[in-house]
Amino acid sequence: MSLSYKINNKSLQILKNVNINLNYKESISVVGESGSGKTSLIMLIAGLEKFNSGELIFDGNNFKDLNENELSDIRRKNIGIIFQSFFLLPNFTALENVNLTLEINNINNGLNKSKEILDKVGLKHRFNHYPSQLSGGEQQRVAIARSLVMNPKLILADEPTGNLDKINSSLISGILFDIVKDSGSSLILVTHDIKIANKAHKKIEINDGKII
Amino acid sequence: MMEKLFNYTNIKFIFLFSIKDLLRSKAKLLSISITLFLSLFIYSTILTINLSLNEELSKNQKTLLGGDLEIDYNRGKADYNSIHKIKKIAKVTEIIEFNSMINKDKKSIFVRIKSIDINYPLYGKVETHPKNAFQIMKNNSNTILLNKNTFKNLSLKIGEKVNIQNKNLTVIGYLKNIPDIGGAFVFGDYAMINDITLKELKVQSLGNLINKEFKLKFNKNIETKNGIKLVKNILNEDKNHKIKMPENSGRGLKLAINNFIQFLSLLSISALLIASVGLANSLLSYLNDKYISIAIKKAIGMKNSKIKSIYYCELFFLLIISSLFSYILSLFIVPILNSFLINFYNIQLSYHFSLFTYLNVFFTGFVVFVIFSIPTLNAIDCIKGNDLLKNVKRNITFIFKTKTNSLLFSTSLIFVLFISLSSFRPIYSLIYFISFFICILIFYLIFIFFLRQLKKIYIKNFISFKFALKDIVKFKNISLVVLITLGLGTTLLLSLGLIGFNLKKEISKSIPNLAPDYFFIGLQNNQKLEFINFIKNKDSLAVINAMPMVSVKLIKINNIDPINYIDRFNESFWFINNDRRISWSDNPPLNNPITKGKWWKNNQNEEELLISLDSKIAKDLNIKLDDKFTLLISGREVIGKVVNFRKVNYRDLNINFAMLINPSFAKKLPSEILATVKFDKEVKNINLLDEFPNVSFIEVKSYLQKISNLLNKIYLSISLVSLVIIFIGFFVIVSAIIVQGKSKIYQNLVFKIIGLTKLQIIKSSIIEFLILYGVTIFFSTIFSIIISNLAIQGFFNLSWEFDFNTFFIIISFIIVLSLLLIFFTNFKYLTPKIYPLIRNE
Repeated sequence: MSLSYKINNKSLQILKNVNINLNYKESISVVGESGSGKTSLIMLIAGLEKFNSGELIFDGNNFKDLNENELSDIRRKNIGIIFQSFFLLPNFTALENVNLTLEINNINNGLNKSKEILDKVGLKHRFNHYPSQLSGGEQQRVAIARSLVMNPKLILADEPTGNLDKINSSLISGILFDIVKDSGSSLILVTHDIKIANKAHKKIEINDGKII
Repeated sequence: MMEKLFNYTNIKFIFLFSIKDLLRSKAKLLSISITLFLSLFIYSTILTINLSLNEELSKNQKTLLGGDLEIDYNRGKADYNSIHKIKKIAKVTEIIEFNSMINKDKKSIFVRIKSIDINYPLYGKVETHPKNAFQIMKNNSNTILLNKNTFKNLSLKIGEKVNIQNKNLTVIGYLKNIPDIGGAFVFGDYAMINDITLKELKVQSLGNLINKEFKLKFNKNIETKNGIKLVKNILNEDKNHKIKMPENSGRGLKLAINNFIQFLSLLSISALLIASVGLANSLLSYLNDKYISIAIKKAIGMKNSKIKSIYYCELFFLLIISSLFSYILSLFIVPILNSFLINFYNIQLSYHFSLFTYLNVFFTGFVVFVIFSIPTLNAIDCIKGNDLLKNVKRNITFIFKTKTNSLLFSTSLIFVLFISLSSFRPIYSLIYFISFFICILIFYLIFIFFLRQLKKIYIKNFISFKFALKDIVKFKNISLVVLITLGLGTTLLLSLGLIGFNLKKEISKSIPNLAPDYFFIGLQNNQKLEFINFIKNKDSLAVINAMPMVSVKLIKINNIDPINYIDRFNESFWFINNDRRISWSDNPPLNNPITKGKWWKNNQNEEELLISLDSKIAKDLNIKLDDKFTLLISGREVIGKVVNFRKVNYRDLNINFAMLINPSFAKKLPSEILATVKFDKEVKNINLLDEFPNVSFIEVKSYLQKISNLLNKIYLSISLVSLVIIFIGFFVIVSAIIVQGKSKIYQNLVFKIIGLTKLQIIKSSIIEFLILYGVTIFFSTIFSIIISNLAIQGFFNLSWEFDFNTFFIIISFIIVLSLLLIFFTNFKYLTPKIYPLIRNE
């Protein structure tokens, strides 16, 4: 896949001929310097951004041939995304934030499942707290719970520990890898933390938009 | 803490910081400034116009009256001995006004004619076409000047003859403007002749509604105050006269202006209050935008009170600029208004900067500013410095503390009392405000109830609907703003629309159905049979109602001068102000049910004067049964007893007398006949000239048309003001929805990340809009039905009808306009660009 933007009539190459193969239940960590194209790679795989050339095949579907609605469909059912900035809804409680994913998939009696997954990430006592009432580590755990609650085939995590201290980073990465292992999902993890990166089955490094 | 806050360094810091911040944030503060400016502009304009009109009326009150003083004899006999004495201290002009038909070929028009002498006018100028026509008319008998409208309607040419009271007069031009427009003279068709011409006409009948008055201009060596005393001394023995002072001139005009201005003021205050809801919302959005900046200020140790002071200071600057700008701009409305007034009333209003009016605008703006800013700026308390470390950005919301609530309550109370007490009719203003706040409270309670019901709704599969409901609940503050603002605006516009429809229906349909086709006045008793035959010859099925009529003067009520009985602004002042035409009847009129007391027995031979009175007048004048009226009838003072009250329905425009007397007393009185005729078939031309040269008639249809035209003009101006209010309402709603849209960018991003499609997001927003608008319009319709019903049936005593067309036009206008506004302002928020957001840009 390749990705470029036009800025002031000049083409800016973000990703150049990136080629990744990810199997079921496999985890890949992506490392690289800031601005190397790691987040862009996650956005392309999530179907949130369209690539200029190449192919992206997920579970038999070629993203090149799908429209925005079909991509949303796949993302809703099969992909869980975790960001560095959590992206929780401020007016929703921890439980509501997690349950939202089930609700948009028309799973209406999923409250127990949401509670179960929040319990798994250690937030049993925080169901009804709003994001502003949670610490950074706790907010990220809610975001993880939200991405995992649908048992997605793929989890995309973009520097999930980037905003956290060492203890929380280790806790979050532990939870993430454990749950991925238990649920059987695949994982693509973007991180600057080499220790965390080393926990994945494969590690790739991106520099200036290319895998090295 | 207060001590620290009010030291010089602190004040300087807050002042300078707020100016810098204001300059930096001018784009963000634009919606607050526009809302504040628009609402204050309407209020300023109304105050400026009111001031200019009242100043103009006060400045020209002598011109409007036509003298320093007026001695009004009505139909009574003037005391010429006294007038001769007065002529030694003042220049006097004698004016006689009367009604008559003016006939040209087969066309007839009912006009008010003014007979003037050589001294007229004492103040001001008569403008005519051609320019010298007034002088020619003054110096030549058998000449006449007509107002332009009559001149046109009779298709006249200068030099042609018209017939009045069986006499031919030469038309020498038309009147463009007369100075003494204080009376009702200016509103109908009118004409002017000189006193010599008048003597040749036989104007005597009651139906001519003759009014004789003398206007005075004191000699230069006599001060007005002393002059008035001298005139009162000279006329001390004369009971027939009534003195009118310049300040009482144009009473009807002043009353109409004051009522209309009060109505517009209340509408503009409503706009201001509706705008304040929007201002609070815009300010909240502004603070949400400033979240990080406020959090940083707190993180570096700035105190809450200091941060709030900065924002209060910013708003205060905005208020000064907006109020000053809106007031100055409102002054420029006067020249625009002048271009209309010069054509209609020949009035040119002057305008100037009035500090008092500006302070009024500023104070009003300030109170609204206090009401909207305190709970909003309290939201700053929610922002914590450590939010920066947690990477949390909450949506802050209004905070109502006990202290704030009591401050808000007292401010609102002061505001309402200030506006009400300074208005023309304080009670009406107070009732309006109470209704306005009750309406807000009801809309608020509806919303709370609606919110509870929404929470109970369980939707299984329809995602967009589910999220629309969630949005209404989660963004309840904004939903509440939309519901209240839209609710009040729609209620106001729909109520006005339905009131307007019902009034127009009354004028154009109901009254013409009930009313007679013609009124005939000036018929003598011996002409009654001849007249009935004349009408029956034209249409044998015509309904003729002919009643005797005599003119009386109410001198005393329970031995007290009626002037001291009630104030000038009493709704029934008209009853005591002039001579009254009364009638008599054996039985109560069919459409006048007795509300209290008993009707007199038929063929009773007693000579005591018994009076039947309109129940509304009795109520306004606080008259009880058995109260005594002293009436001047045919030069004789007679004391009569009020024996019953009737509900008089003036609406049918039939012969309705406020006062009826017993026939046994009236049988000896010299009287005339007042008649109405309703034809069964269409009778195009009633040519009375040959057989009844002195009888005047009024075609009801043409007068209704005049009223309808006037009503349309009033309705148009009210609708325009209401539209401005609706525009402000829309502005508030759009700003609320932009605020919601901004908050939703983030939410829509999250929705997109977790897999909601663009279509589902848009559908959810549309459903949310439909639910909120549906509820609002439903309740607004109910309220406007109740309000318009109360106004039409309760206040105007008319029948009420729901008009689907009015409803449909207003609602469609509101929905289409707001949908377009929402679509254009919010489309970008529905489909957020993900990349910049994910990168925290």
